[in-house]
Amino acid sequence: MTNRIQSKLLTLILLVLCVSMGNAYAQEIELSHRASPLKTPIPAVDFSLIDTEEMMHKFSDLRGKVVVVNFWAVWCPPCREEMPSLERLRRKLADKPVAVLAINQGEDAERILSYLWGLDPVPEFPILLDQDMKVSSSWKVTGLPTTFIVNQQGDIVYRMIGGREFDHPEIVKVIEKLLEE
Amino acid sequence: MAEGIILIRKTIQSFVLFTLTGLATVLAESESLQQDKPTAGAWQLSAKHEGFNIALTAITPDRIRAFFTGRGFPPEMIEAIASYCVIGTRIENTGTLPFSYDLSKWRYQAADGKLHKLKIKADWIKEWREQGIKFAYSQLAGNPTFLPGDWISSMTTYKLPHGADFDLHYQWNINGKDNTGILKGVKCADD
Repeated sequence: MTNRIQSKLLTLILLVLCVSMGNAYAQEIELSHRASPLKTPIPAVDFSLIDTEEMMHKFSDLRGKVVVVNFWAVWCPPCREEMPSLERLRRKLADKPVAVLAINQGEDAERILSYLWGLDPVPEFPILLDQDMKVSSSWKVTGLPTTFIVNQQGDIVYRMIGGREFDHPEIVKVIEKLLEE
Repeated sequence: MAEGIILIRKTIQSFVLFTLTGLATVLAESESLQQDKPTAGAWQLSAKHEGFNIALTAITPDRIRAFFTGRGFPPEMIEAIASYCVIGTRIENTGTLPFSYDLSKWRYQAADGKLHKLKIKADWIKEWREQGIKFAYSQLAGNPTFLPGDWISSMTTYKLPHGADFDLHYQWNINGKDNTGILKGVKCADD
């Protein structure tokens, strides 16, 4: 009887500790939801990159869509934190001419996929491989994560340095407004 | 009953140790040089100005080694970086106007009383390229513009021994006007 009580007590203590430690870690990264427009739109530099399935993607093929282009790496904590919100954004705007691309910086497909498959939701947008980081260089990325929003004319109109919560209403509103232009 | 209490206490102690070790591993494995939002105890020093926030925390040589090993750097370069005083540096635009900063204008003042230049991203990239290293991240960008809402956490490096103290003289520019600040008593991580 005493053993059973001890066992239940232990289970309860372990559960409380697990939850509290989990919360302590989860609260460490706080994503921003602010998106500020560039003073002057910049024509997006075209590129062709393969994705994790070795399919080739040409950026200019997306002309006519609003494109969210995210530069990231698995080693970058805020990149990991914001990744699920990119997929939630894609799903939220799936019936609109909006595309999401995530461009990984220099990591191999195996490492990337093992990370992505653990996410909820699992991203369904293309994960492109910028192995030699030439595309990030031509897009003048200075730190990770950096995300651009490209309008339907192919111009970069927003640039966000640092982690964001992309499905936040403020960012969704920015994209919906671009679709009306 | 007393035995039961001892057993519970030992189990809790073991679990806390195990969990803390696990958490430390998670943090180490995440190689979180891009640190998180400043929270109590997470940053050694921070300063908030109108629209411009800066926060600093020392990174231990072991974590530097772990991070660059994970990025495939050659051992000599890893040791070269780890020999520096490396400070995790977070910059955030909390205002309504863009700002820029120029790391080449930042200085640090240590025990010798002189003002020294930081070893900045361009200096590291030049050395990395000479050794065929393509990696372009981890070091704080040298001269970027931060739009409202932008933030980043990267490394800044100082030619100082591990455990040394220094004051950081930093600069940023809003609306064409240069602003300066000093964070005193920054401590490099011990070995």
